[in-house]
Amino acid sequence: MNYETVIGLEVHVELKTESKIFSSSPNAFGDHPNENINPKDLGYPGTLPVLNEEAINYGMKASLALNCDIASETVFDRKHYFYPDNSAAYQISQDEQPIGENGWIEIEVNGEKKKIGIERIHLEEDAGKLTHGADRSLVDYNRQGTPLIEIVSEADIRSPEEAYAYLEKLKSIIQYTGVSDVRMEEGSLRCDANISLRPVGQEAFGTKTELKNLNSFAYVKSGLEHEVARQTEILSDGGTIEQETRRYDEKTKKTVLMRVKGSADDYRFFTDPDIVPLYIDDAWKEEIRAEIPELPDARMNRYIKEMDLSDYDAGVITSTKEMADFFENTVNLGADAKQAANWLMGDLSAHLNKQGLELHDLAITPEGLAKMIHLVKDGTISSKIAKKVFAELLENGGDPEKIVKEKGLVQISDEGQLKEVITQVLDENEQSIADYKDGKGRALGFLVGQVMKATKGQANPQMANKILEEEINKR
Amino acid sequence: MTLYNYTIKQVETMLENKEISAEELTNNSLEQIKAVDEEVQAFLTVTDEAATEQAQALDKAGSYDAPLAGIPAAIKDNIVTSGVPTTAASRMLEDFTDPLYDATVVEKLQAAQAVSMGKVNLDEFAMGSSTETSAFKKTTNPWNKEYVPGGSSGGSAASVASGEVMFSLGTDTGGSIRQPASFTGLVGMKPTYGLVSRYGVIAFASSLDQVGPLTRTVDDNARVLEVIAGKDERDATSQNAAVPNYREALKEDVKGLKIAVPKQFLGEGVSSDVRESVENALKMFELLGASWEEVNLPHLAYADAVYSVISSGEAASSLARYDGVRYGHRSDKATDMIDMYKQSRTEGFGEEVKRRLLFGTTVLTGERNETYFRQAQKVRTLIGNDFKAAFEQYDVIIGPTTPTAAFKFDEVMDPLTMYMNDMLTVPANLAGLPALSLPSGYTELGLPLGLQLIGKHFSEELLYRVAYTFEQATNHHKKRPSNGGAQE
Amino acid sequence: MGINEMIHTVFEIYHGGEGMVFSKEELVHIADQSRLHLTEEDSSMYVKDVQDILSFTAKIHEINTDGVKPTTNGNANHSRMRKDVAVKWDKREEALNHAPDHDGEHFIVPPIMD
Repeated sequence: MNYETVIGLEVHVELKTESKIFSSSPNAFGDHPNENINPKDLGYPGTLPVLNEEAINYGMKASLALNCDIASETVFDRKHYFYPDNSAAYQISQDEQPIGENGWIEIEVNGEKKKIGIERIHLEEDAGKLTHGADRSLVDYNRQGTPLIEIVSEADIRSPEEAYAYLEKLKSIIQYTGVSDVRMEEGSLRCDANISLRPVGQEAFGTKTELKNLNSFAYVKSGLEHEVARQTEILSDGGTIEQETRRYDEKTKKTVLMRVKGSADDYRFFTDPDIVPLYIDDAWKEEIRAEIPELPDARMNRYIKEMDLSDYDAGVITSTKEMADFFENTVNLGADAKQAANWLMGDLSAHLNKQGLELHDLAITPEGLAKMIHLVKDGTISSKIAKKVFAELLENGGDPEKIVKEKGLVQISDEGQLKEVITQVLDENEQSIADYKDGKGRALGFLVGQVMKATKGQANPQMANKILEEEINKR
Repeated sequence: MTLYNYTIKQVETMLENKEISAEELTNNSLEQIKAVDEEVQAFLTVTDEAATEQAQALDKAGSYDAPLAGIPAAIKDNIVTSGVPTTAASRMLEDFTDPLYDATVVEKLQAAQAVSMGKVNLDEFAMGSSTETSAFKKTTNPWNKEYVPGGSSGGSAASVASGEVMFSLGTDTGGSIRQPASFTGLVGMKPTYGLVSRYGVIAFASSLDQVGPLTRTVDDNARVLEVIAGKDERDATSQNAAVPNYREALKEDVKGLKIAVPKQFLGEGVSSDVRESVENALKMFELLGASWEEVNLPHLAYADAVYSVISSGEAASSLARYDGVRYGHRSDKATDMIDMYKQSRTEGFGEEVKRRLLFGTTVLTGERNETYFRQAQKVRTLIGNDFKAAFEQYDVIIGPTTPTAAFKFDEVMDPLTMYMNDMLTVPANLAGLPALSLPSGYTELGLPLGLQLIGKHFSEELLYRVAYTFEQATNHHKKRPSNGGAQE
Repeated sequence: MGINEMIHTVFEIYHGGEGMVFSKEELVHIADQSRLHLTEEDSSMYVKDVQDILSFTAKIHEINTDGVKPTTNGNANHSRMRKDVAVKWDKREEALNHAPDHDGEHFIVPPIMD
C-alpha cells in the first residue's frame, strides 16, 4: 500500500525584546546563570506579571507577516505543570484565543509552489534552563520569561522536503520582520514536528508521533525521513503506530522513544486573573502592519523584474534581509546588479560560510563594494585584482580606491610599459613561441600567465593579449 | 495615654502641637503589645527596633505633615515586607525572612510615614474565617478570649481592637477584612477590586483578593485608604481612576439615600440578634432621611458555591509555586525531584490549605474545568449583573456582615459550615464591589455585630459618608473591649 | 434554622448527585497532580470533604448559562501594559542564598527521574 505523509510543525521563536514578557528583567542570551532574574522570574510570593507592550507588537508583527488574522480581544491563560524550570508552576500562554490565526506561507519545492496554512500563533513565556546531573540538577532562570511566539502549522506539509522549505521560508520571513534572531543554535528558533501516515486517498489522519530534539533544519528533515521510513515499515507489516513522543538522535540519525503520550497531560488551563484582557483595535494593528518591511517573496519578484536577476540569484540574495539590504544599497550606489549579486553570492558567501560569520560581522560596506565594481568597470583594476581588493574589503573594509593605490594594484594599461614586459617574456620563452606557431593554443595561455606574473597580475588582460599576439606574429 | 482612646486625626493634632512625640506613640504601642499580646496573640513579628528608629527619625526631622506620620500600624503577614519575615502564617514560609522587596501598599505606608509595629497573624495563606488555620498561633478576640477574632485578617483585627496599633492592613478575598472587623467591633473596608495594588500581596485568589484598612472609626479608615489606594504600574489589575479625598466625603447626610436590602441577607441562617441589629440600623437610616426596600438578587443564593469553586481553583494555581526549589520549605526526606515537591508541600501546608488545593485542583481537572470552574465563572457574571441592576435603582446595599457574631474556638468544625460564614461577604468580592463593615450593636454576651454596606464600583466616598452618618448617630464604636486599652 | 441545619438541607437536596462520583482513586490522582502526599487517614477525610464541597457547589448547575460570558478577571475594562525597558536586579546573591540548595550560580534540585 502507498502512504501519504502528513506533517505539522510547531515552531517556537524567541522575540528579541529588551526585557522579558512579564517582568522587567533583561532578555539576554549568554549571560552568567541567574544573572537576569528578579522576584517575578523566581515566582516570589506577591509578584505579578505585567505585559510587555513590545512583545505584543512583535507577536502581532510576526502574525501579520505570516498572513494571520489578529484577535481583537485576547486573554492570557495559565498552563499548569510542576517542574523546576517553571518558577510559578504555571506557564503564561494563550490557550483560548491566540493573537494570530488562519495564516499561511508559500513554499516552493521542485519548482512547485504550495501554500502551507498556519493554524495559530500565540504568545507565551519561555521556561528556565535545567542541566541534569546524576545526583542533582542545576536550574538557571535567565530564560524564564523570555517572550516566545509559538507558530503552529496546519497539517498541510506532505514531505520532509516541504517541511524543510517551510522552515526556511518561515525563518526568512520572521527574520525580515526583525522580531527575532531566529538562530536555532542559540535556541531562538526551536521546532517540534508531528508526523503521521495515511493510505493514499484516505481522508482521516493516522496516529501521529511527535518529534523533539530537532536542533537544525537538516535534523528536522533527517528526523522526518527516518520517521517516514519507520512508520511505513510498521504499517506495511500490519502494525499500528503508537501515539508517542520521540527524540531525534543526531548520531544515529534515528528517532528514539521518549515517552508514550498519556491522558495524564492535563494542564488545568484557566485565564490568568493577574493579566487584564488585551484589546487590539484596528489603529494599533495598522500601525504595526505599516512597520513590516517588504518581505522576501516581494523583494525576490522585484529583483527579477526590475534588476534582471535570475530566479535563483534573486532567491539567494533575498533569503536574508541583511543580504538583500546590502545588495540593494550597493545597487542604489550605481553598481551593476548582476555584478553585485555575483560578488555577494560568490566570494562573500563563501567567506561567511568558511568563517561562520554573519554579514554584519564583516567590515565591507555597500559603498566599498559599489566603488570596487566601478573600478573594474572603468578598467582601473582587473577582475583578478578585484578579488584581492575584495578580500581586503572583507577583512578590513575601507575605500577600494585607496587600497588599490596603497597596494599598487592599479592595472597596467600603458602600451609601452606592457610591450617592454612582453618583449622580455617572449625573449625568455622561445620554445613557447614555436609551440604556438605549431598550433598549440595552450602556449598562448602560458605566455599570458608569464606576463601576469611579471606584472604581479596588474597587466590589463585584454591589452596584454592583444600586444602578445601582435609581438609573436612579428617574430 | 492609651492609643485606643484617640483617632488618627486627634493624634495628628497632638503631634503638630508637640503634645506627644512619634517616639512616645511608638512606645505606647509597644507597651500595649507587651501588655496584651500574650493573650491576644496578634503579632507574628514585632519590629520594635525599626519602629523606634523610624519614630525617632520622624521626631528629629520635626515635621509630621505626611498623612499618617507617626501612626502605629500593623501589617497582615501575607503582605511582603523587605527585610522583615513574611510567612502567610504557613510553615512553608516559616524561614522566608526577607522577601527582598516591598509590597506597593507597604511602600505607600512608608511614604506616608506610618510606623509599622510588625506583622500580624492570619489564617494560613488567608484561607479561613477564624485565624485558627495559622500554623503559628491562635489569635483571640479582644472582646472575649474564648472567641475567635474572625479571619482571615484576625491578627489585623485583634491588633487594632486591643489598642496595640491604630490601624492595620488586611486582605479580603471573601470577607477576610469585613468579617473580623465585624467580630471585633471595627470598621473594615474592602475596596473596589483594583483600587488598591495587589503587588506584593501573597495571592490566594487573584481575581478576588483586595487589600484594605481595619480601623476603629470611619474617619481613620478613610485616611488610610486614601494613602494606600491608586493605580500601580506593577499591578495590571489596578484601576486607572484617580483617588478621591475620602475625608471630604465624611458628612452626616443620608437624606434621600435609597437603600436596598437583598432578601437573602436577612433570610435563613442569619441569627436573630444579627437580624435585629440590621433592622435597628435600617430604622435609624429612615430617621436620618433615607429609605429602604427589600430586593431580590436572584443569583445571590449561588454566591457561596461560586466563591468556593473560583477561590479554590485559583488558590490551587497561586500556591503551586511553593515547591521548595527557590525559597521556602524543602523536605530533607526526598531523594528525587518529584518526591521533593510532594514531601515539601505536604510538610509545608496545613490541613485547610491542602483541602482547598485538593478541591481547587479537582474543579480545574478534566471535565470539571468546564462544568465547575467555568460554570462558576459564568454564574459570577450573573451575580455581577444582579448587582448592576440593583444599583440602577438604589444607592447602596445594606445587610449584616456575617450571619452570626463571633463563634467560640473549635465551635465550627465542619469545613462547609466554616465556608458558610462567608455567604454574606463573598458577593461583593465576586462582583468586585466596595464593601464596608462597621459596628452596629452587640449580642447579649457583649460581642460586637457588624453592618455591611455595599456600593457600586468606586463608590467608596458614598460608603464612607453613609457609614460616617450612621457612626455619628450611634454609640457602638465608643464601646471598649475587655482586652483593649484602658477602661476609662 | 442554624447554619448546620441549613447545610444539611443543602446536602439533602444535592447529596447523591455530583459528589458521589468522586472516588478515592480520583483523590489519589488529584493529590498527585497537586504534588501532595496523603496518608490513608488524610485520604479518608479529604475524599469526603471534596465530595461534600462538590455536592454543595453542584447547585451552580441549576442555572442556564448559555451565552453568558464567564468573568475571568476582577476587572476587564482596560488594557494595561508596560514599556519595554530592562532593569537589572541587584539581589541575585541574596536570592540564591534564599534557596534551600544552590552553588552560588544555580538553584539546585534533587535528580529528576523520568
